[in-house]
Amino acid sequence: MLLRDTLGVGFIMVSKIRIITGIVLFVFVISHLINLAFGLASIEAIEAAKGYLMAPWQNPVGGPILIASFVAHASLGLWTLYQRNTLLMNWRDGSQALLGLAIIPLLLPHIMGVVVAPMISDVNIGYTWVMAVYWLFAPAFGIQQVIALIVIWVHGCYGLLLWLQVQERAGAMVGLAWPLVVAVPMLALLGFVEAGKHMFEMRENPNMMAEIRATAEVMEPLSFRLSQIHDTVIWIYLGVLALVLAARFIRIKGRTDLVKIHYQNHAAIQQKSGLSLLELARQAQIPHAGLCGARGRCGSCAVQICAGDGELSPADVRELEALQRTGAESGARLACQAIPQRGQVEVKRLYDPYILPGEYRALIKHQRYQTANPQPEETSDAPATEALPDEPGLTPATGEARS
Amino acid sequence: MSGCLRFALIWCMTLIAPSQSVLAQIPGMPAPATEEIVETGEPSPNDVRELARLLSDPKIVTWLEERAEPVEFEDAVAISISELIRENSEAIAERVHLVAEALATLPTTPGLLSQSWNDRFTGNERLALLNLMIIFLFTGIGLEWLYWRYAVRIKRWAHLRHKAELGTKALAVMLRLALIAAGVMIFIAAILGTFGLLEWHPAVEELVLACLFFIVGVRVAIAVTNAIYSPDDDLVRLVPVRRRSAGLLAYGFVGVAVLILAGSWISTSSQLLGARESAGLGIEIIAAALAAMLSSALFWVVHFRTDAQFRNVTVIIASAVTAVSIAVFVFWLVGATRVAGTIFTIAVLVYFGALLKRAIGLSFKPDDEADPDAQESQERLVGIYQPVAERLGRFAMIAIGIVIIAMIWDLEPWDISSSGSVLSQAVLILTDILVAWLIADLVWTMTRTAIDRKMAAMPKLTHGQTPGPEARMATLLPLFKKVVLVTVIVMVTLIALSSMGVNIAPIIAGAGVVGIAIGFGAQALVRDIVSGVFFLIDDAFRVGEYIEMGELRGTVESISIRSLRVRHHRGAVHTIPFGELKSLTNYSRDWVMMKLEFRVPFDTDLKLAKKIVKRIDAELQANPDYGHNFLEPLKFQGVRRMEEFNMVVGVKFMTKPGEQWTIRRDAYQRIRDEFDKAGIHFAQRNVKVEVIGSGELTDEVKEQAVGAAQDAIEQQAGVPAS
Repeated sequence: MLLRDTLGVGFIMVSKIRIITGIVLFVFVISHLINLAFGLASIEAIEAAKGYLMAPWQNPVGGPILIASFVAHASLGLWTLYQRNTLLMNWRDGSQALLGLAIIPLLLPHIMGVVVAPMISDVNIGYTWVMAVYWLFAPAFGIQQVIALIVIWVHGCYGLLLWLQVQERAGAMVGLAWPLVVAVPMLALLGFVEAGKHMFEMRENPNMMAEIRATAEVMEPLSFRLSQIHDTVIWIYLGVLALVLAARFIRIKGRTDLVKIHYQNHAAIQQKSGLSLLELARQAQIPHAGLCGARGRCGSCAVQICAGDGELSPADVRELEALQRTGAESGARLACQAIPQRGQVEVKRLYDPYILPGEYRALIKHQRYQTANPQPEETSDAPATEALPDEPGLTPATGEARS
Repeated sequence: MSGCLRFALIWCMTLIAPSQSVLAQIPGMPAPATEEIVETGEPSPNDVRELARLLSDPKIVTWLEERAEPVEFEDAVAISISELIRENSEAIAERVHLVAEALATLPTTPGLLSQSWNDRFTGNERLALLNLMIIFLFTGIGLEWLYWRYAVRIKRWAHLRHKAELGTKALAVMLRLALIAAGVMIFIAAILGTFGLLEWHPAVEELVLACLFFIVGVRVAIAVTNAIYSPDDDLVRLVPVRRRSAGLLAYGFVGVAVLILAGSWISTSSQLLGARESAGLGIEIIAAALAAMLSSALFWVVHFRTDAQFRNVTVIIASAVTAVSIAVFVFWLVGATRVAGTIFTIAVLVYFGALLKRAIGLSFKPDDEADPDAQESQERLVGIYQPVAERLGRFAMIAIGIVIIAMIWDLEPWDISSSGSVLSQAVLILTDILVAWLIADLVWTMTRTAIDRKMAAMPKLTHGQTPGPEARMATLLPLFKKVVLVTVIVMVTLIALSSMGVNIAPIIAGAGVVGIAIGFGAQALVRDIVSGVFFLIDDAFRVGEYIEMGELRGTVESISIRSLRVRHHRGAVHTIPFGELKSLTNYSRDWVMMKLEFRVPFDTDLKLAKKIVKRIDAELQANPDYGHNFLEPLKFQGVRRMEEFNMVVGVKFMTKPGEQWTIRRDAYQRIRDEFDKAGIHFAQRNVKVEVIGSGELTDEVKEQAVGAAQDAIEQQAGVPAS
């Protein structure tokens, strides 16, 4: 029990560290993108803005924080991968994971060029050089960086959204942030394009080319070493990834018990144990609310255990905290955390499968109020705020991009 | 085919294009070859003076005019048909030659194309160009995504209303289409807007635009197929296919669009890069052939997936699509792009027209879950508006079709009249007639449906039942319908004649003169019609009513525009022109009073009689057959008058018109029976002879008395009793 509690606290810590490091990285990305957007004016403007925008990350305090955040966030991502019961996620969680995994290989050449190169030599990397590389000398890297930018931005925004939309106060503000979500990367990309155009125009300019050539001469001898480091890092990364997947495979292999889950109004699911209730439900095409992305934060995937002798994995601190916070009754579990071990269980979803974050927040507030001031005549059995048609065709409003 | 799509893109473009200069750069337009404008300075003052001098010379002017005339003259003469055919066949031969060349050199084409790219750009420049495309694509996606963040609420609202009542549902269907269209517009605006924001080197501008058109075209194709086939939402699908087939059609058509756009993009870009025309054409032919095959294959697959009972429909659709695909492809191949475009436009619009009809039907479909009352009211609404909405939709489709086809043929609908060719004149006339006919059709459908619905809503007249006030409308409405029909036909004919160039003023005037002539002859007829209308407005009689005009009487059987047909209760039918009617008595209005009289002896107990009548009244009122027809009860009125040998008592009652006869029959019968039982006998005619004196009457006296009575009897028989 003590071990489990420690583990539970550990889970909460993991969750907290994940979001804190994520925010640190996101702030860095924002300042970097805003810096790039100055390209709409000129390359000199980027250079000038860099002094202010990037300064917090280039001093002895900010730099280590950034690096530590990056390492911690990446390690937590791999840890979550290890913890995953199934790799067949719904498309949102799956893309979030894939985007996260893609960041390191996508970003590595950029890091090599602008961070590692000055570290191993005394070369001075300016934006003129970077733009020249990305537009004139190695546009393939340019494409890679554009894709990296979009991948990072989508990953960051989606992660932030999952965290924010179930927060009580901040959640309501999400709607106001949408324009920023689009404006920041768009301006950065346009700044990048404008700088590139400038490079093409100035191709024949001897002054600029001389400057670039000077940097190129310094970089030339470094390139072999840089690519060596780059390849080493990639191999290490792939090795770690393979290791994590192998460890996960071994962790899951041991399970052979059959479980049978019966969601009310749906056909029963019979499968090998190892998946959480939420994962089982989603695999069986049973619509299920899950606003925080199975992180055990929001409590919207809560289910009531109605009947059955089946055994579920016991609730940890994080789950109990979430259940208590949302005012759930005893006997409720979080579907994303409860893993059926063996036997048969009949469960009932406590929230409408298509519930929207706003609706959910309002509902939780109301339920908490009721728990604080109990009214005997009212039953809290009917949690759905709005009767929505129970059709798989209807997608919730979150993240529905048709493009 | 591709030309048509390109046209659609250009059309979208005109809505959002920031400046005219961008439009001029659209690839695929028959743009002039990029000619270098020769730099010319200002003309020297000497030259100007010389030109002015020359122009002021009358000889020069006449010479110029002589030269100019034949040119103008040649322009005005219509191109002879044989020349037209010769030119066209030459063009076709040229095109076929080009196609043959393209197909012959097909194996070398990829090499040629990559060569043209290599000549123009270095590898790095090509990658930079690709990078630009990625950035543009993400700009479009980003802005549209932002749009959907907010629009998704409206979409969700609309989705939930797809099962709501009629008006809301129609709104929801339209709203969904509008939302999708707006999203695409934003995507296009974002891409082309950012493109327009940045200044471009002329060498790459057209090429970049060609690439952007590819992206935009694919986005439009995705939006259109999604709007129509809605692969992940059964509720809003416009085509009656299952989810599986809907997905197949949606993604299949995106594939078709990608093939066409890619072919078109390769050919335009290779031409922009200066490759031979046949090189790009080879690829375009393959892409178009694949697209044609794919589009017909899609419908055949759907056909074989459909249940057997619907296959007779799907086989027609699939065959039609195949035929159209082949025809469009062949015409495009031989260079008859306009014919191909026309066929394509017509086919697409026919399909869209069917879809639109279904969308309208979908939005008018009464909700199955609504309660019966609401359903009935919904149905009434549907009956009136659905045909009208369908006509309007068809009208819009035909209008769009005309405009697009006219634009394909370079006939600009707005200034078509200024060009003098026979073809454009014919198109103008046909357009005029078509528009007039469509509007007339719309008016006629609206009138007809409205009237028919009203007629159908009236209760059916059963035999022997008195018609209610709606019978008047039953008379007037068909009349009104005929008047509208005749008016509409006459007006359409006149408009058609006038647009054909026939001067209709004499016809109208002639009609006026003839009208006067006929008017004199048909004065009576006119009088009949006019007075008929007024009789109807006065509500003097209705079908089924019993009326009397002078000596004629009977039940109204039918009312025509000129006359009234009345059947006498013995079967004779009278036909009376309205003009002949001066006054008219209607026996079937509101109520009828019936008065009955009985002669009873002077010694009758009137109180008893009153009591008996009251009882009979109660019995009659309780009669299930006619009891409800009483308006006032059967009442005993007491003695009406005294007569020589008896008194007359009266009884009266009030009923609905036409019901009095049955009640009178029963009332008479019962009163007789009841009076008889109560000992009241009806007074009978007798003659009393008083013989003064007493004692036995001798036979002689008796004989005399009989004689005296005989006199009185005869006297009375001569004067009938009143």
